[in-house]
Amino acid sequence: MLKLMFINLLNPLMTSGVKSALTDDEVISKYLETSDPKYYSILYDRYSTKVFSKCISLLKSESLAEDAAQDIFIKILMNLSKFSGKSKFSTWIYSITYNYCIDMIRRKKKDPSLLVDNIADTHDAVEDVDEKFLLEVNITRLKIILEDIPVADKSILLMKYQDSLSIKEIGEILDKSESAIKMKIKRAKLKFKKSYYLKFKD
Amino acid sequence: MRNNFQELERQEMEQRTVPAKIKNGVDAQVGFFQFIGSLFELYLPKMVDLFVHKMSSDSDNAPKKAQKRYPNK
Repeated sequence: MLKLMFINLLNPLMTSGVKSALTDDEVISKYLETSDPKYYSILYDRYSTKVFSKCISLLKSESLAEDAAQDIFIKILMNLSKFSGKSKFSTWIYSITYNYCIDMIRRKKKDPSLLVDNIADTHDAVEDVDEKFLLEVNITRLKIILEDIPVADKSILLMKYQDSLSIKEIGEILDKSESAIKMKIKRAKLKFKKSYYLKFKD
Repeated sequence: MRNNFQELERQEMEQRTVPAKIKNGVDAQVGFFQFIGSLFELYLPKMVDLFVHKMSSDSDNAPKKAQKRYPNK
């Protein structure tokens, strides 16, 4: 019994850093077939930097991001059998990451804008900001503005322009209709523009 | 070609290294869950068998006990 325990505890450590040419879907099916931790390590190696980076970007704290990234990967592992393959595995991972971070912020009430989520869904007239404007901002300024706008707006802009997710995919992640997502993106772009002109009036 | 959002992400990812303690924490949890899973896999059928055996032996003994208690019946 003790031998089994040690094998199980040491196996993931021994197989970390494994490189593989298998696609994500193939790695998942192999993991589900065999429960071999080396397949999970492959997925971890592929996505850990991106997930950790997103956690830091949204939570603005390295120690919170460490805890979040660990919980997210455990959540991914526990729910791997529920991954249906309808969307890309990366999209599924991002959905868990964004939702986890948004929930964490909501729990800590760091960002009250996340608590008035439904108010933002009202379809009143909002100025449409050309996305060319967002995509032409230089990286240093982009970083400053993304730190300045509320996390809810930041995360929706990251999903759209950083992860290149479709409106439908963002809707699935946030559990909102496509028209609600379009409105949220519109509002986020407007906040981005306002923040830009406040910070860089020249 | 990357847009400025993706370039920002690339730069941030280059600057950061994922702390090893995240992987260690995940591995420890995974190992623990697998250990618990293995325990159930190994012992649950035996426990069920034991329970079923115990239940059946109890029901077999029931009439004998009644006979001992009321020997004149």
